[in-house]
Amino acid sequence: MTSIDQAPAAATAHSPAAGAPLLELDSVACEYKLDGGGRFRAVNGVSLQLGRSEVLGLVGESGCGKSTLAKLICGLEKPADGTVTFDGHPVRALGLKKRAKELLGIQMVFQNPYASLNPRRRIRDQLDDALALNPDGGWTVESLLDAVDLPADSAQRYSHSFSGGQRQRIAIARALAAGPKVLVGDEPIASLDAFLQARIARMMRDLAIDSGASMIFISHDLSVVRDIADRVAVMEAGRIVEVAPTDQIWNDPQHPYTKKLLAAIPQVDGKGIIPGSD
Amino acid sequence: MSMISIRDLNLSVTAGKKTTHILKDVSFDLEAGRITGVAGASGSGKTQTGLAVMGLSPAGAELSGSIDFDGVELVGMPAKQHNRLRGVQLSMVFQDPASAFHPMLTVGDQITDHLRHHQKVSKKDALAKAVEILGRTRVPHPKEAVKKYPHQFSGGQLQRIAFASAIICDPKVLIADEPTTALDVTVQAGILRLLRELCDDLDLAVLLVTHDFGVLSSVADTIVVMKNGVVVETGEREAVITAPQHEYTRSLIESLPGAEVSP
Repeated sequence: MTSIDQAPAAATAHSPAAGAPLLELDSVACEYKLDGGGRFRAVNGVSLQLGRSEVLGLVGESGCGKSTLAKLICGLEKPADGTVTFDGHPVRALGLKKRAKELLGIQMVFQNPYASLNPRRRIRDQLDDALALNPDGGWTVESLLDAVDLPADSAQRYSHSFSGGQRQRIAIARALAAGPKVLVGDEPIASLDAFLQARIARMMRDLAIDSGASMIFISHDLSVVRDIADRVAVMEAGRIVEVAPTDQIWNDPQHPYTKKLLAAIPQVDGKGIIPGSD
Repeated sequence: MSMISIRDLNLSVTAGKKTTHILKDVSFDLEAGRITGVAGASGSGKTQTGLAVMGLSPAGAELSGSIDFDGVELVGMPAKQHNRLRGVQLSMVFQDPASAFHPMLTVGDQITDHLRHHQKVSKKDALAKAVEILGRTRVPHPKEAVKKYPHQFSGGQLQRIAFASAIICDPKVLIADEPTTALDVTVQAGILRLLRELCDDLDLAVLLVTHDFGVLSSVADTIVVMKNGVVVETGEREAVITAPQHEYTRSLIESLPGAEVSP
């Protein structure tokens, strides 16, 4: 794969300060209007840093604000407070505007590959669109398909002829084609078969790191996050309650909520013990 | 004596000229008071096995073999006769609680509908029974809950209501198809505890369909592993998980993140 040599060079070429984090969130908040007045703070005072070539796992229960945070990072939601900075550039709400060139380094893989691919265009055309954003990335449609373990003749087909796992791999290939510096995966494996989940997650990690990118991997499945993340951020009700290296979260969780989450994972030991105390 | 005994069950679906064999010679038993877990990747036929017991096989499906339910043969049973068993003696809980309920009817109406259809009880008595059953499955404030609509509940609570609906007619067999897949881990633990409790207290024969070995390891008594419509391994929980005999079972357990199989 030719891209591996080139992509890291591109990532470091015009970074403003080498030591600065690639992506920085500074006390970011996001609010939604509720029916009948009030406001709901989905994300509240979140500060996070993402380094270069780092995989950050973001875990929490449904409704805790994980996806809203992902949307804030991509400029799909307007922060009510605080700032998001990517590679020295502020990330602002996109609205109906075209994404600024310097922010194209943020690419997203969504949860539902059935909805994120265009059903009426061939896979080749969809990958070509992404390649056009990053013509110097060294990828071709064929090398992208090869990287995600799909046969070369997939390029001629439409998305409906692929299974869920294959579609998600196409979505990953498309995100990679644009030469991301940060790959944001919002529950990218949640809609897949359990036995595929670990494989696709590892594939995302390897592809992101090999191409010199960082990754934010959002999931409610702690065991998968444990497998691929360098650091883990635990989110509860709009706040980050704990951020630590993966081993530390796993072996020595500090926050009671982290402990509760970990205790609820069923162990595959055949002992017939139902986890948790509730 | 098994509650349900499935022997050489074959299921094929013909679409146009193409015939697909979904189940091939599937045999296993469900016992009263025990949870039988069926594991397998998607497309392995685990859900279709459950649906065959319920008599809900897809249109154009051809069933052969035998499903013996307490002395009654379910394969080839006329639809009308099957209707009298379904929801009464054979009941089912589905994966997605949000789509299992009608959004515009109250929970009370929905979980008593089959009770009132099959047993001649008044609306008032049915609602009283619904309140009792909702309390049994630990839905908070059952008296108010029967008057509410599905969107007013969280996923975990709706799944508890689905279990209430499934047991309201005192069934003998409960088929739970991925009952916790759509839920968070913390909620999942509560639902698994409920399933175990219902199985033990009501002496239900439970068929638990899931792809999650963590779930099977927590509650299943017997594990059946399926691949492409074939049963590749059947055994006691601990034996199957700690010392899988079949290569495929081993690969499934090894593919789990963080899982280690003792050699």
